[in-house]
Amino acid sequence: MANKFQSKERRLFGVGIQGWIKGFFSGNAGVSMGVIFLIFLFLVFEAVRFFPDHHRELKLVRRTGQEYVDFLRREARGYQEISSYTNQAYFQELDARFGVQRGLVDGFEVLQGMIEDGAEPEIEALAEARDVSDPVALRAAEKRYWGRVGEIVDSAERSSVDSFGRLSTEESAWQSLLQAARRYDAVEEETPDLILAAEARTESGMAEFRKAKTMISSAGSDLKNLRDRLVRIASATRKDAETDYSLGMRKKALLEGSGKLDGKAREEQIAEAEALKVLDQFPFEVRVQPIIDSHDEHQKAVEHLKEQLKKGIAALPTEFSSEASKKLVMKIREAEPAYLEALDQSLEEASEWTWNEEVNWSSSVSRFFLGKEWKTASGGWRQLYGFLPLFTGSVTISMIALCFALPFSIGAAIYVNQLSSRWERSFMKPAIEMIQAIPSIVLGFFGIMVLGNMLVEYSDSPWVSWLPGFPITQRLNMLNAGMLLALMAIPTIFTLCEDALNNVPRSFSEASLALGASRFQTVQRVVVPAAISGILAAVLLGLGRIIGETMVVLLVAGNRIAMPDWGDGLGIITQPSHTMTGIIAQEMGEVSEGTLHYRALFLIGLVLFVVSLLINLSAQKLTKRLGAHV
Amino acid sequence: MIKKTTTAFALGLLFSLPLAADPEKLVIMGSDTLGSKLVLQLKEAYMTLGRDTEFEISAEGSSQAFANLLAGEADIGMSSRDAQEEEANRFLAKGKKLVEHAAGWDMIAVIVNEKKGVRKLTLKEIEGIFTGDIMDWSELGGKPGKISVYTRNTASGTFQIFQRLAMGGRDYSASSQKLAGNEQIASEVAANENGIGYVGLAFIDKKGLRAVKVDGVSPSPKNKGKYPLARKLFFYTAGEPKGSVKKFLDWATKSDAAKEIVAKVGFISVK
Amino acid sequence: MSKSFGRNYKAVKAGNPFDSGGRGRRWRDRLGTGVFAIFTYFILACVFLIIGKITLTGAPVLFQSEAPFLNTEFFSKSPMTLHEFEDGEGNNCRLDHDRFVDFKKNNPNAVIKNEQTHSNAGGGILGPLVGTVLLVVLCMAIALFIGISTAIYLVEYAKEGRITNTLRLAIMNLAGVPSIVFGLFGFAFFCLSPIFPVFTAVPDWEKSLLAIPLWPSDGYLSFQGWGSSLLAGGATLAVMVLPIIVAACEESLKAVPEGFREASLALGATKWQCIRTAVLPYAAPGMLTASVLGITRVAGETAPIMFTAAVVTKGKLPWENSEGSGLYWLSSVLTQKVEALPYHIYSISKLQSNEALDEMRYGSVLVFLFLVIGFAMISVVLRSRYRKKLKW
Repeated sequence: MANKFQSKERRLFGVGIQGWIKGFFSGNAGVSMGVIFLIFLFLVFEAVRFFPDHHRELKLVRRTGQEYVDFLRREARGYQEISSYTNQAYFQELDARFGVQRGLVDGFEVLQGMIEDGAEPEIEALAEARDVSDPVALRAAEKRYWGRVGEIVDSAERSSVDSFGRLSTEESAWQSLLQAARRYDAVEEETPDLILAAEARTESGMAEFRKAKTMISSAGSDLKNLRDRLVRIASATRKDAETDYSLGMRKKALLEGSGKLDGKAREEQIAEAEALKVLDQFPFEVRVQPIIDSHDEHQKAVEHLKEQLKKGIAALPTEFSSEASKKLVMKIREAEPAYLEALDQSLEEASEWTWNEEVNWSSSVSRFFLGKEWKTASGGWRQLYGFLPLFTGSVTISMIALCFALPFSIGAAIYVNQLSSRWERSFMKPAIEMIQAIPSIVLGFFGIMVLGNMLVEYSDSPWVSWLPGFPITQRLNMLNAGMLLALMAIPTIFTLCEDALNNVPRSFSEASLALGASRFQTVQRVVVPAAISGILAAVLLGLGRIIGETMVVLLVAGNRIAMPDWGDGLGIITQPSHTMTGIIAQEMGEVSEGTLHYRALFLIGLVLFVVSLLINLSAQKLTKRLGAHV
Repeated sequence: MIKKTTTAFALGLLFSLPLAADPEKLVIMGSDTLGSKLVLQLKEAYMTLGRDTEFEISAEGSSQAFANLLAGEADIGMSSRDAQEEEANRFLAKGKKLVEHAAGWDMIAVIVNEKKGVRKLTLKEIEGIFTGDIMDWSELGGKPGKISVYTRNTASGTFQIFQRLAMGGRDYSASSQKLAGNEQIASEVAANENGIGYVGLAFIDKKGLRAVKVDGVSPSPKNKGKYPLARKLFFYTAGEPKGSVKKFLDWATKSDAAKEIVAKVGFISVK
Repeated sequence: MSKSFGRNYKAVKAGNPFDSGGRGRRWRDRLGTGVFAIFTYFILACVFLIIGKITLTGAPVLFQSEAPFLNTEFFSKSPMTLHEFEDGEGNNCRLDHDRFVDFKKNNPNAVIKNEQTHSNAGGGILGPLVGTVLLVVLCMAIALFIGISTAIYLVEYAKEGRITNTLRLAIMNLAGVPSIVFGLFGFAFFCLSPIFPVFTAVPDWEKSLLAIPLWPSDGYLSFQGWGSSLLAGGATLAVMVLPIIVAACEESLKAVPEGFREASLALGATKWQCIRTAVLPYAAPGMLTASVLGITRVAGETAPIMFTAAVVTKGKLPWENSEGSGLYWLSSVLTQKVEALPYHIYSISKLQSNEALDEMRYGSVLVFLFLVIGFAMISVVLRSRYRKKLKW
């Protein structure tokens, strides 16, 4: 029998078969190594090019005067807020004082709409009959009309007409409203006296407040008009500049392409290129002039706004029937000085602004990492790539998830590893580890279909409604996402924690038990402290898993790209938010390759990559420290 | 022996029948308003006719249509808005041309929760709500409650055309939530008493919702010409359509069967 | 740690640190243990609740009371539109598109009133299921090929040194990278960069870096990137699962005792023969376990395939729409986009609730959940059997 392992050595290109086999394996190892480094390279390659593009964009924003207009926009936004609070306060007060009257007016409007919709043919017939003035037809038409109106009014239910419930306890007012509606002539469209009286009463009762309100709400009209005008100018400049740029690109491409052609085709292409009118230098200076010229007007508008606002706020009432209204007015009074100061500051910055100043390179970076607004290329005023709201969203959700995951996963790890019976351990460990297999999309589905509705439904029960941010009105929010992500992190933290606890030498706990400690005391004072760095590493890796999760947050977190409303305190956990992973998943499909937006998404990808790497590395460091201890 | 046969077979498979051909397929991408209902049904009807065409449809928003038409990834783009100048420019810079084919008319309905008493809004109020100037329902005379504004994601054509038609081109409020589809907006508004959002006509017929009258006109096919938030729906191609693309587009925009589907779904077919 | 021990040590001097009085201590112990037990049971309850809710709502869609007890249509049709209408007698009918067409054909005069249509609420999940299976098979084929080779190189050939250490470190850290980042990479690398070739009759000249005419056929090997396709999706998933496969295979190769190798080499075997006959057969079970674990990981992922492979709706199954022969055929199948089950669930979970759609949704989720958990269980079983069997 021949030796099983004997073989003839054949050679190819001077390398033996063994060499080729080795080459094959090392080649494959090279491929996997290459791919791993390519990931990093590709991310960096696409991401880094964001900054020069962003710089160009910022420069364009300055040259077109959009930057200047942003001063006005910011001023107007602050004013809008005060104006909005005033309106809220006014209506709250109105409701408190003249709820029944408002109920009548609103309710009548609803009934009127119902009649107009429901009796459309009858109204038309009636109008026609009145025009012709044929008494027989008129009578028939009137009879039909009133009959139909009666039906409609009879069928009107209080809950659907008076959906604010202002009349729910006012039986007599409700009846008189129905009465008025029954007599409503939809052809003449005459408002009944009852309603007119109610309107008059509210009007006279709220005269003082209304005057203040009007003063406030008209204070900013100059500023807003100026803003709208400048927005139009700057947008037009921007659009023309971009068109010019595209035409230039096209011309360049055509001329370059013509080099490859010859004869007639070449001439045609050159002619086509020459026909494109491209400006050598886009005349920003001329286009931005009206914006610069508007500075005086801007100043005047702001002065006017300040004056009127001060007057208006001073004229706001001091006595209230409604608690909510009182609070709102107090809020306005508190916000006033800060806003006025901000106005001055903004005006000062605006007067120092120059259109041709160079844009700092560092601002290309800092506007990304510190920017608070994310507005992408699709329509709108200008592109803003502010990373902060996405980052805050990711971090907030992760913190919520960790808050839920930590006690449960570590607690479970300690229980399963140290305190449980053998029988419990045999099913608990695999069961908790099995959670890892639940795909994230299934959890997202559960969040949107079940958990969100549950949160909304049960959050206004007296047991929990005192919690910050409760009762919840929208089912897509950070709390919902955080709870689901906690479930995803639990198996990771649990498994690693359990390993860490397992790695604590048996002698530690034996010594403690021998000293007379109970099982629980041993766990509490010996085993857990000994495993603490392993537990920390587990928590870190759990965090890594949470922060990188996409589908759950995309479906469930609510996708609001804004900084959380810190005014709610801890209540921010029930606000919706967008995340780093979510934005990539949501916007990658719409971007063209090589655009600023495309690169911004890659930059976020790079940040995620680096964050996960840092988390991983520090977890490894921690585990190593554990090894040194034990 | 077995080894040799296998090798021979594999080699034969790879090289013996050198017949090159690419399968016919229509890649349709873009608007969710069109793609999540209408085009799916057009596809089904078209395939039922026995045409041997394969489809690949994805619908994330109109911007997807232009990005992918430009990259040559899509054959037909669905869009619920007309192409922006910037997008047309990008095609121009590449030496391509965008060709539009009308798919139908639509109205953007502003929807609120049924429990909310709001039945009509003026355009001014709508602008205020979506830009964030109006933050609370009490400002509109309703029961107090912070308004939750649901908008489409930025890729959406509805997102952009609504901005143009109803908001005077102003930016959406920062606190608006960007959802991925008409249906998702409808679900969230139906689930949130303080919610407001907008959807295409094909999506208003749901429980728990009310489409408000805008400036006194309710969104419905019979108010065509009066409703202020009406817009056209388009199919786009890069260059004049040819072959199977042309066949499908001709059928989808001109045939009676297709018009019937357009009407059944809730849109208004073009004359 | 040393700190806490120091404290304890001092306490020992002062007396027994653990002796805090008999009764109180026992109560405190019980309380603490109880709290931890409650935590543990609470987690289990949550999982039980989620899986239970999905199972209870989804099972009626999948199963039926008469033979074959399984709703075969759910597995043999692709998602389609559902038509809901009232017929002449006022009955409420619900028919998916196929049946609706038949119905209209068979009853040309039927009255159809109040017709409503619901997207994706009819049919079944054949398309997405097939897509997911294809993606997973392709991904595992690529990942196992490269992964096992890499592991063999690391364990059998490479000298321990800087390169192997870097590779190990990179692999270890890659496991924590978010899946969406792999998606981004896959999109930029496999879909867009024109270094990946396809066989095609008409190359996309705009994207193609190089098109080699393949005589005698009239087609080309065109380097134009894979585009968003089955191939790109499979490759992206493969990159994602590669670290897991390499690490697990390395482990199982290392577990084969050195003596096996020495013995075979001593008998005169070449290196390759030694690996093939003395190492691989014993490492194979471990590798199998690794690959099942890998399947669990990739089958459940949505983010990496969102822009590399998945599409919301297709008309046919991938192989039903293929042309050409040989490599052209293969290429035309692999460069199609596919419907995938997780992506399908993502896109239908955003839709407005209605009764029929809810059934479909829970049905799809249930199938998907059990598919993935099933694979996870297989991997657990395999691992424990493998551990029991292999003891040397």
